[in-house]
Amino acid sequence: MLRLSLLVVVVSAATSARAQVDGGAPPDGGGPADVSTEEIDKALKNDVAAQKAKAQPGQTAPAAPDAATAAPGMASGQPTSGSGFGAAMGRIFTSLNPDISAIVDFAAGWFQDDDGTIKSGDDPQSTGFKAQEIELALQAVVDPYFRADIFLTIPDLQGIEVEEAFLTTTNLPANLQIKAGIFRAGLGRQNAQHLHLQDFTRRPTLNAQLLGVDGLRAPGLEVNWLVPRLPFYLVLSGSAFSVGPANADVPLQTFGGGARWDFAYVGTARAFFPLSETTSLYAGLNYAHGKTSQRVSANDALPSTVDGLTLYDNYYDNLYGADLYLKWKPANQSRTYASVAWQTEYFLRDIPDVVVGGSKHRQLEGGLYSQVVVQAHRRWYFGLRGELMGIPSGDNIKREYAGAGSITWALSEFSRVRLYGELRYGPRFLPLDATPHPARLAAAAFLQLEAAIGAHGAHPF
Amino acid sequence: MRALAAALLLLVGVGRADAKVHVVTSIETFADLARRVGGDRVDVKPLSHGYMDPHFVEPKPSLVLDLNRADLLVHVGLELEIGWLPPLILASRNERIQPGQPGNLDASARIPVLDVPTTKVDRSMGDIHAAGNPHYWIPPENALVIAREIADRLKAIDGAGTEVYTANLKRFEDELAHRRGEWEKRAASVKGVKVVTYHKSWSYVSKWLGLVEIGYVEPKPGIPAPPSHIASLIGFMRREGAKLILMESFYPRNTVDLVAQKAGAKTLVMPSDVGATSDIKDYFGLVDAVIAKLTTP
Repeated sequence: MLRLSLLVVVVSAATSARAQVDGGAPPDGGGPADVSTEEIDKALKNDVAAQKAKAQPGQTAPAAPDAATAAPGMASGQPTSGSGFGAAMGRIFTSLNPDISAIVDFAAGWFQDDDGTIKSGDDPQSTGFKAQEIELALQAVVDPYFRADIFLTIPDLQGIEVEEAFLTTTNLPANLQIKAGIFRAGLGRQNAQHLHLQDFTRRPTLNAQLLGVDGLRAPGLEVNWLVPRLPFYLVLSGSAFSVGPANADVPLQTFGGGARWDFAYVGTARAFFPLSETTSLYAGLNYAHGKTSQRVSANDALPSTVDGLTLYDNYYDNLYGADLYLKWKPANQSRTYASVAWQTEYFLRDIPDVVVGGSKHRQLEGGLYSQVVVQAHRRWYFGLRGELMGIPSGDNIKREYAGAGSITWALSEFSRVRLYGELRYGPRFLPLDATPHPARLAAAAFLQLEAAIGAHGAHPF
Repeated sequence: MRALAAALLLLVGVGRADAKVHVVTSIETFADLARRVGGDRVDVKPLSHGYMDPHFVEPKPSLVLDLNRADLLVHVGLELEIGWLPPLILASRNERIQPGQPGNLDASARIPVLDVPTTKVDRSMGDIHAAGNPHYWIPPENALVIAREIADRLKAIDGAGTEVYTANLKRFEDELAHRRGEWEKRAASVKGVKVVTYHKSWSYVSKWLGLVEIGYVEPKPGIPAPPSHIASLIGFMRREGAKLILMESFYPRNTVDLVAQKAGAKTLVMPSDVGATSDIKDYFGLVDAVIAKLTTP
């Protein structure tokens, strides 16, 4: 066995050295070294085959290594065996360990108005070189009843966060599924997506302004139901979250106010319509109910009520939303590598009974974004996005217009470089500052580098 | 509330009206094999079509509906569908087809897998399949393994049909044995012929028919070829006298045509799955078409 291992090491070294030197190109005919490597390789495989035949009497030994593998000019530069042993080892490893992957997002760039720009938790946080986010994912089936997904992130090098850690049931009857843990609410399309699923370097400010800088992401429980016996896909979901309170230096959060038993409740309906083989429509209707949240620990010169609550903290509110995703992608995708995807989302927040200056009034605020991403080539994606915030506008969400453009160069399935630029026109964001500010123009530009290593899982539609 | 509960119960309780076994397959070839083995007792639906690249199928939520109703899912395995199938299986809310259940058949389980990496692999080698080459379903001996696996699972799921499945499998085996002889006779002329393929997806066919693969247009799986590779490949093909380039219909042709022209070789756009072109309607038609492509002068 030791001798076998040694041989494996020697052969590995020899073959990988050859792969490196060749850089994937066919060698100019086999030298003596190649021949001996192949002979050893063949002998090894025969050994393995013999072992296998011995271990499984009655079964025929695997066939001899194929000519192609042993032939010179193995252009893939990938050392391979005939069959069996390696595959078996691979299967043992993959079946016992969770899938582990890491995704890094670096960004370098500039905000014209660093402090007055609203940012999401996984946006580049300021001008300069930024470790935008580092994500570590562990994913596995737990047992016949659950699957577990854990995503740990370090945003902007600011300590480790549990972005998501949840269990999903796999065997409930009646098309039901339960999700439990800390996870991103399936409220709209953006909110459920991690940074690496974003089509732009920065998220639109819609979620940061309404749901919190990290979106609606909290410990909770979701029950969802795939409605049976319909000619189309429809999933209804209901969930409850314990959302932590928001700080005073971020926009008023729709959820997280009140006592520990004041949950945020979310209901969604998502339907999918394959309009044709190439065109698909995915639409969602969203509703949520909770209590506003924005509080300060040291209650100084801020417009605030007692006990560190800000003026708008702790009011019952409702959030209404709709999202749409229309995608055109030819079925024979690998021939042209062309696709077009349009995505848009709208949220409207209703706080029915705000008391400001002793009088009760209703506050309605909302905003939307709309984006188009065109894949023009196998490796190139072009995106345009518009944001319209403050429709209607209010004390917390001011009228703002923003446009962003993005060019993405995906070097492979696992790495990409992205150039991003945006222009915003609206008042500066100053937390808890009720005085009106004039609108100003503010630009930002970033170059982003993203890479994924490990068992990179599939992306949802 | 009570009405809602009643409606829920009704929806759940009605169950399936037809008694057929619902089989869902990731590729069309498996759908044909399942139909041959299952006969009238099964209702079969493929999730992708032969003209699509099976690595990159869109994970449309509408596919969840098919998986939701499935009693048996037959997939290629070896990470071929890793980019699209796993989240659909989870979203199907169908216990029967979850990994490890009898209704989840990884058809590669008993295939003698080729091109299994024996040294440490990483993605500098491209988008490699760490468990081995998943393009295994064309050679008759592998189709037989897959058909037998499907028959075993169908018997486990639908015991009442055991005799039917056994008889259907026997019929397939007999026809396959007969056809195999014909195919091998027809393809005898290509034995030892040197070929270049686009993606490393013809290893099993090459091994079966004795083609000698001397290089690949795509130097690393999923990574487009750099010009230096193309140049050296052309030179190598000339020296080796390789006259054929094999590629699937869903890959881009430009580079391949250039290589073929410069190296004095011919490009063969090969069907790799049932449905690759509209005239390939079943597994036998697929292999017929593959052999016809290879042997047409």
